[in-house]
Amino acid sequence: MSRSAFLDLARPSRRHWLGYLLLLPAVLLIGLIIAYPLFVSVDLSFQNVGIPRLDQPRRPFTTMNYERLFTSPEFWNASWTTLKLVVIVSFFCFLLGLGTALLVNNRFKGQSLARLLVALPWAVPEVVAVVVFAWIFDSSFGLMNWVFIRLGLVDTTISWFSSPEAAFAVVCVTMVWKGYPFVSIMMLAGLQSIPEDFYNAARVDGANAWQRLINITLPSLMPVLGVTLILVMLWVFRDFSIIYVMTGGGPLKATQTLSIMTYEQAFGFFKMGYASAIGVVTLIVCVIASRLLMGRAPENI
Amino acid sequence: MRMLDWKRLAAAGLVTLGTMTALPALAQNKVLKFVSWQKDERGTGDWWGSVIKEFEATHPGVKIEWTKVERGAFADTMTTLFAGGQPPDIVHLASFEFQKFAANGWLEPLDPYIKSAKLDLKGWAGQDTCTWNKQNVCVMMLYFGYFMAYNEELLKKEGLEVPKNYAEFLTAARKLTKDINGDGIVDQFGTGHETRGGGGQYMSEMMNYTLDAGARWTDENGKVTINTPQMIEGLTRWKTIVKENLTPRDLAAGEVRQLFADGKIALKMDGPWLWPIIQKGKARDQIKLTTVPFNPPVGGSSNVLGIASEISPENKKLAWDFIAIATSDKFQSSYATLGASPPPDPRADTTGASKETPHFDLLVKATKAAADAKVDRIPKGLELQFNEFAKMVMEESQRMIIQDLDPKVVAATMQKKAETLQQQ
Amino acid sequence: MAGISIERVTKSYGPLQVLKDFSLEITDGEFVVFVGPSGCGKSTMLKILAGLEEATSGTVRIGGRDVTDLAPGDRDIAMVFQNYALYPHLTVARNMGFGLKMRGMPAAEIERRVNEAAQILGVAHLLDRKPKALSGGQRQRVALGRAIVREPQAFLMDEPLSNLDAKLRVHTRAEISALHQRLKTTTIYVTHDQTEAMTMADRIVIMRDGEIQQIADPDTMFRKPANLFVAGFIGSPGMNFFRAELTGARTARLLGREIELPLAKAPGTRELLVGLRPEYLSAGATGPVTFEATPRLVESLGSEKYLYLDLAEENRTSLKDAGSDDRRADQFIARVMDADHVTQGQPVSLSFDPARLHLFDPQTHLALN
Repeated sequence: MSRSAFLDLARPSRRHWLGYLLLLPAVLLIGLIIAYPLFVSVDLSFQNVGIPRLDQPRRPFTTMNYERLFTSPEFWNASWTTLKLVVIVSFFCFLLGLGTALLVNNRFKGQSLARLLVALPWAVPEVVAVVVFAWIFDSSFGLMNWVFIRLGLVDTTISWFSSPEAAFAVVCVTMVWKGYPFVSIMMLAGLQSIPEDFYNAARVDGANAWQRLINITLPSLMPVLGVTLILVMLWVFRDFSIIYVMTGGGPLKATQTLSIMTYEQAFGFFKMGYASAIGVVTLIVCVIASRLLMGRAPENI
Repeated sequence: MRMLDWKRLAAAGLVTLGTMTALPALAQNKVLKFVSWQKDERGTGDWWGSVIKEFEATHPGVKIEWTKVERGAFADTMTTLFAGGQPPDIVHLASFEFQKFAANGWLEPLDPYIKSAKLDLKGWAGQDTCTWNKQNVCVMMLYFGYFMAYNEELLKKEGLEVPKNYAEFLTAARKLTKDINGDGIVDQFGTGHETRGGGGQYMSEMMNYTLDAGARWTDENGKVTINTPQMIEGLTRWKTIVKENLTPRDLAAGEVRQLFADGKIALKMDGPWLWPIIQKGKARDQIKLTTVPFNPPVGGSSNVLGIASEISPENKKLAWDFIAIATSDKFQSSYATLGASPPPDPRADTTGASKETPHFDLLVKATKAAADAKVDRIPKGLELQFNEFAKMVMEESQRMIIQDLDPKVVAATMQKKAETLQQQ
Repeated sequence: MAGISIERVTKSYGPLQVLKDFSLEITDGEFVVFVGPSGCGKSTMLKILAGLEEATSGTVRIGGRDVTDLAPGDRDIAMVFQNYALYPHLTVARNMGFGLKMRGMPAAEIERRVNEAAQILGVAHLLDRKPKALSGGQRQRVALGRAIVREPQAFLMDEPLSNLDAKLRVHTRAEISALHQRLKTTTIYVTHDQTEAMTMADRIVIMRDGEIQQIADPDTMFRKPANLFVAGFIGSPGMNFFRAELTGARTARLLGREIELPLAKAPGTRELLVGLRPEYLSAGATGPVTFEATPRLVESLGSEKYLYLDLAEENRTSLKDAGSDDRRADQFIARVMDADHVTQGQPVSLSFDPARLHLFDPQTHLALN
């Protein structure tokens, strides 16, 4: 049996080659799909280009895209809107997610069904969810208006998508609905890894339910909480389809986030250079934010 | 030894397999790529299918690969294809999108082909729009004019006559907007417009009122003419209609049309594509058609056909053959019948169409009225920036409605912003 | 006064009865050990005492107060867990003071008590560390400290030494006993290890399948087991069991000899189960009854030897569920000192005193003497 001694991966000295070999396809893929386009984007952002052609000579280097970006009120508006959205949606996703996880963690009849229902919004495709919510909040025929009028909260129908504040609220509601199951599932996994004895010890020590929540549950969940928080915030930051299908960024740019703005500039107005600049700025913000928030998360993961 | 042989055999097998699959591709027929959003559309889709069939019958060994891309994503997809150096051979574009492609030199100038094929484009509706840099870069496939559809029964109930001008229209719309079942929510509307979605469609809806007020976005020379008394009047009318909720709010065009077809809206101005939708609606039997109570009607070029400039000369010739078939009098006539729309070819025989579609003559009348008034959605001088311009108009109009601004101020704002866009 | 009174407590999970009619009176300051094999219900009983489980029926009183339906936090008891249950995100000091903080005690008082307890347990130098920086033994002491600072009416300990290694176990065992001497708080201690029960308890409660088998102090339980199970459970290595047929009113044939059985009155059966502890077999002809046997295996522990000896057919018995270690029916064990001459495979003479025999009814397994 002639087996090449050089390629024998079972030898102790060659063992780690297997690791590299297995990683190679993934690394190549990431390089092609993520790293290379990223590089091209950064390159584009320094050119004054409308529709780029990769086989034509490169246009001259210029920083006008960035200059235009930082002096445009639209950019700052989009940044502010993105920030608002991230904070509000993350906060409510957390409240709702943690709450449902705590509830569903108890043993009761129909527990498995409850867990399934909690996870359902996550399974629904984003566009489908948006269509449903768009109809619920429809100005003339929507469920929400009917409920509001029935309850006597308003006398006349609210045009949800004509009012900047209302449209923003609707987008928030849709995103929270879509996002909280993820938090719920992560929290649930975390809750189940807390040893029962902690709670027993606390009970014997005389802690009531609220004290147990604050002193045992939350601190024990901190690692999971931290990671989940980052993932949710990044998701809200970059989410495109929910906002695009629901309001397209309007009305009056009330729901225009950085990702919407990037898309509009690139494919609506065919200004790829400018759009790439926005994309690069978005990337930098995300990287910095997650690095700050991550802290010691790698240990916990 | 045996293992090595096995490996060699496997390697040889793979190579053979690879070659075998490649060979058929080389020996196969020529394939022309044709991308359109009208595939699977009732009427027009069938017509395209007939053109393809004729082409393949007269060109053995050549097949047309017909792909559908949604209207919403069409511009992005085409841009990506062209930018990536993989354009379709036969280029189908909406009339407000092709300018960008022409500006990049991606559309083959068609004059040599037109001359040698002796294609007579005189009187070809909307063909002016296809000129770029004094050359024909495409052929107009549809130019249309709006008509008005109305629900006879709803009007009868209120004792109203069909409106003939804006004043009557406004009165009728006001009377017809009410709460039918008494739950406090308005469920019947006088008219219907899309107020959510892209800028292009929003502008078209507005133009129902601005054109009648005598306003244009730009003049013949491309100068912006928004800050004019006529446009201010037009803006005021639009504001009235929307702010008084005479139309359902925040619906997309398709949804509005469906509501009308189901009898929830009384008066609707729209293009020829409304007809098949009405046919499938609940209120089919109560709906009648007439001319719009405005002058001129909204109209404009719809879509164009061209050839990609960066394909092989052989493919260009074949693509032209395809266009030749589509623009032949025979197929322009069948377009009238199948597509229920007036074909741009002035020589097309539309008698068959008139028999099939009872309102065909109305369509022709509307098209003529719009064409004579040189109405087009795409303002001259702002073709390249159309998307941005449309978005700006939509936003400022929305701002006018939401913040209850004076149309005079709004017109001035729009004027300034449009001029800035032009200078970009 | 913090005596504990358990009256006819039962616990069932549906049709499965885990505790059957448990009654026990514990006096103030007593150290009681619940011992038994896995699944005997000892931990369940402890949890019922703590209030972490609900009794199906019966009452529990602590210090004269009926606490059967009181929350664990209101019973004035402290618990030590097998896995320590130390809160990982708090320092040792905070861990120990947790219960007091929950009850709203002023910070100064908490600190005083924590320091005092830390001194007693020798963990004062660890007060600022987090549990993950401590060894197993240190963690257990911190857990003990958390219980001590509460100054409760009773301690409940759930197999606290099970997670420690052998040497540490011996050491901590002594510490717990010393602690008990010092604080004199009523303690209920659950374990499956009979050595811990024997060395630490004032009284042992031995359980099996939810029933109490015997309640007695260690010496009594050793010398006078109430039934076969207790006899086999207590003592290591476990008691040898033989089957013996009566040859007379009070005589039987055992190990090849006619023996006078230490019975007060005649038993009602023809056959008896006889128990003899390995410790009561000595090498040489020193006792009243001597016999010969061949050791198949000799285990030497230095100071003593365990001899695994063949057993004649007539005396073999198959007791599947005796409390003793799973042993082959054809062997018995002798634990002898000063037996340097004994080697595997060579017959050796051994002797015992019949007065040391335990006799059991073969049907009911109850002790007859």
